[in-house]
Amino acid sequence: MKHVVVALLGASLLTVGAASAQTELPGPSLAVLAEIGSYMTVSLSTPTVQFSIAGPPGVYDANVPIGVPVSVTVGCNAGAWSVSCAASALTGPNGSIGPERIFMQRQSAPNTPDMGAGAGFESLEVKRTVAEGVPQAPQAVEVLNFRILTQWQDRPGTYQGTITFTYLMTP
Amino acid sequence: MDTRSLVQGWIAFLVCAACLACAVDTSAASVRASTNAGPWPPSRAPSLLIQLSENSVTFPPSAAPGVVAASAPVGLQVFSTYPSWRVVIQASALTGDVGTLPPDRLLVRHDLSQEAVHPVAGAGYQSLDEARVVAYGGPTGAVVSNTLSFALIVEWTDRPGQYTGTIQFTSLVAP
Repeated sequence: MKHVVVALLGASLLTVGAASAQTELPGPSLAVLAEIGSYMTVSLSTPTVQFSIAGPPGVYDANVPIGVPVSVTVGCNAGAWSVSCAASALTGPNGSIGPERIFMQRQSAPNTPDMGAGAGFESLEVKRTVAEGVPQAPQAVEVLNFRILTQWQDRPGTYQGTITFTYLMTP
Repeated sequence: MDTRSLVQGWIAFLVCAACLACAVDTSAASVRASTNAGPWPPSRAPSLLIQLSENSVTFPPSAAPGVVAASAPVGLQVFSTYPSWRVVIQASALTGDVGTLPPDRLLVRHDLSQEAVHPVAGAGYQSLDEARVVAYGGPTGAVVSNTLSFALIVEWTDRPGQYTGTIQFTSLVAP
């Protein structure tokens, strides 16, 4: 019985010795080439901004969704990027509301001069910078509030227009 | 057969026997001298040969970050007479002018990796930051084949540009 145990131990050691006696031989190699393009994505938390104006002429906040501002999310792998927005006129059956009466406030800049709709609200008759940055995975970069200024000469009715966001990236 | 034909035959035999220009010398010394590529007598040492269907792996630009598949898979064939052998692959980092893609973002999927699950790329993918076995066998003498499908994880913070690197094949043999 003692001989059997010794023989098994010897076999085990031989096995370990064989496994560790591997020889490493270099083989061929593959060249790898990867080309990465420029990526940028801009998304908004809501596709629509709505103003419900039931009172006299004045300044009204956007109310869709009620109490929730518009969040802007940006992802980009370029060296630098910027996002801007501008509004078109809102047109209705009996007239239009010019883009100078649509206002945007960035929550990161709440104290810009009052342009007629309160501090921090900038008129969208010209393109306004929303956010700027460097390479990043998609993440919220700015929160926007919108307002509209109505006047006595605005006829009752539904008006529609567009706030267009554009982006620029540099390598 | 007439007498004339017999004479012509004998003449041809004698001329040919006298001229050894076209004779084939099959002596051992002659064979030994002509086989410069190997030892004499022929070696019976085991050998291993790796053949690849491609010289390179290319990842084209994609529309967005994510898991990008290589343009074409790579066919692997291994012929070995070793009693035990394995072929492993491992990648270097991919370097570019504006950054580096570490080797853990270079992936491979093949017949032997079906049980693997990569946290980003999913089932069947293995990262090449460590040596991965792509073929193994014994002294069967048969060709062992595998098809290697490579992929690359591209992230938002990877700057645009070209990146290059290497996937190295290594064989581990037991005599």
